[in-house]
Amino acid sequence: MRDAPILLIGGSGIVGRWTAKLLRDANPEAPLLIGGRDLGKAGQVAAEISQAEGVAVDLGADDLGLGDRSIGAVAIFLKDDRLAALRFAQVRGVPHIGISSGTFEIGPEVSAFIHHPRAAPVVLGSEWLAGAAVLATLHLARKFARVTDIVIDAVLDEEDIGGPAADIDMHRLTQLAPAALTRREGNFHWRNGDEAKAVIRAVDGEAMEAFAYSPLDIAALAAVTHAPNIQLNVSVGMSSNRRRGGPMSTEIIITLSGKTPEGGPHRERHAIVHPQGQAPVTALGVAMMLERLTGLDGKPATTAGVYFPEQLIDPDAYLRRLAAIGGSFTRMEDAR
Amino acid sequence: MNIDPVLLIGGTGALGRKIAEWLRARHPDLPITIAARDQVRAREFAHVLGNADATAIDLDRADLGLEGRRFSMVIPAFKDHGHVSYRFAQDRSLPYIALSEAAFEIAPLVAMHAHRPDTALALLGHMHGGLPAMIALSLARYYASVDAIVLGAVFDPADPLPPGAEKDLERIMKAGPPPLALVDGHWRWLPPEAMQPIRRGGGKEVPAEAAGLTDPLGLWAPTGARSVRLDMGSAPTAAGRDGNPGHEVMIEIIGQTLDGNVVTRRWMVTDPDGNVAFGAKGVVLVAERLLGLDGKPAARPGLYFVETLLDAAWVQAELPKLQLTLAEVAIL
Repeated sequence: MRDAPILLIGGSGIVGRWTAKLLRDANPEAPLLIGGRDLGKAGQVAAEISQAEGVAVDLGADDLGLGDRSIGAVAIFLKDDRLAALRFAQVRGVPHIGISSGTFEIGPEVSAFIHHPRAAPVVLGSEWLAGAAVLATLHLARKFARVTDIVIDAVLDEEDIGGPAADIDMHRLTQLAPAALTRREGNFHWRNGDEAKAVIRAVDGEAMEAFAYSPLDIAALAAVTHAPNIQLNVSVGMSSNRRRGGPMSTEIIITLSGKTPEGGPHRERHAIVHPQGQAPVTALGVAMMLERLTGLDGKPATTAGVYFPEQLIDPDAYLRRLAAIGGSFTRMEDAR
Repeated sequence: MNIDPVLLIGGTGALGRKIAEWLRARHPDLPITIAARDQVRAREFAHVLGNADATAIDLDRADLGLEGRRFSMVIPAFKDHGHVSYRFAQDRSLPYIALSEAAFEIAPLVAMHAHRPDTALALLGHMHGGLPAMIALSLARYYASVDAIVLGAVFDPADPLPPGAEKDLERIMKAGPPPLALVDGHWRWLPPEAMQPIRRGGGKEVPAEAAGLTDPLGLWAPTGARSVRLDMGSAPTAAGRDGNPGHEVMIEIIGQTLDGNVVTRRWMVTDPDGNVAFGAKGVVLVAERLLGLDGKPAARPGLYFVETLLDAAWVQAELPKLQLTLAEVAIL
């Protein structure tokens, strides 16, 4: 499968283009297919990248309109409510990554896996920025014997254009299911109404109004850390960088509390910032998952199963590469 | 029977009791441990059941306070908001049946399973332990291709949902998105205007609401149906046993017959013992399969729906033993 091209559906969108670029930079020979509804646009994006070709993808067709073209893996950057791309990947026996489902929406993808568990790796990649917050949290969690509280506060700059697909996702997710999953004193709970409102501190200390949101981070972090209290809030507004006259950036502020192996109380507060916004960060997660799934990283390709991003990406490797593409991960003054 | 006890948590509740009674009826030698808050009730029930014992349980402890005791599987007949009983099952590599999760709230269990895939986890948030879905799957064999499946449960006003299930539905209504259904090949959250009555025999209809349980997720793949939905309504049903109300599930399938005609056929499944018993029987069939009590090897570790555990034709053949009646009804 390493020689068959990776298909990026919605590859001419902003996150898709970043994914293609990051994959290309790290894997000069890996062939890529930039898939879009509009062949012209996909072809233009592909022309900017070596070893890449644009293809028209038809999510209304079982073969996606690709005929018998060989494909090594599929990543899709938009919501596919027929699961056409996932079923295509399963029929072909190649990995599939989706990043656009809210926590409440994963049923159909899980169902596709349950009915064909040995067909292919199915990645539920819809964590905040494709794993960024979860991976950073797991990196920090290593300093704890027991984590009791995890708070993830994300700042999405209103000028950080996620592209139409991301806008549609956020609108759908917040309109359809206003309640957001959280974990409180060990119990899973859906925050709703006033409970779903929050005020967060941006990287520069500014208080910003935020709302509860539930990508898969809560479920994933509960499964790995068993922390009894986990919440995620998002503020859409002006990022710290722009407030002081710089370009918009994306921010994720992560606070962990718990106990050290020595038994003392401990707290860690760190922030991920990327001055080019959410797209390169999201793309990094998708690119690293694709490298792991296909074996582009030099290890054996991933076997069939259902996976979350943190099962495919090592947190330390992720943070190193985040730094290499212009992101930062730094300790913050405690805002208490 | 040379097997460790089944740990039935919430075993003295309405559903827990029915599960225990049907497990006992079908497997006289299977040891059962009834875990419940009220130890007096639990001991009394275990005594009546026979080959059973009672235990207290501490949901604040990872070992549930059951240190050193051995079990063969875990069935929580209550809503475990922290999924601590699944973690307990994972710690001991025991099969587990998750009964309360609607389609929108499976993520925490799926994440737990993905990270530790070495147990069998049955996601049984289907209506009535998945029995209606399995019967629909069996009836689908009469078709060359299936286009649409509609499941409709008719609750007699005198046979309401048990308190636990009632609470589940309240939670789903409050926190959840609209009910999930497959509509003409697309996964959709049904808006209020998409509600439709349950069609019974003889052209009669019952006002109904769609329910976002996991049945559509289980049925679309094995049948190839382009539309699958689940509705629930309330109306007097056929009388049950001993003057008690019964429970009725309508199954409507539209598809192409083996001779090429497109037809709509409708069946009615009735349980003279009411809706709780109906659901318990579904759970019992899944428990049997997971443990291998049906004579086949125990289920391997993995993530399951009822459709990937049970054989549809076998379930249909088993209905008389479960005291369930299946009959085709006239459309008009």
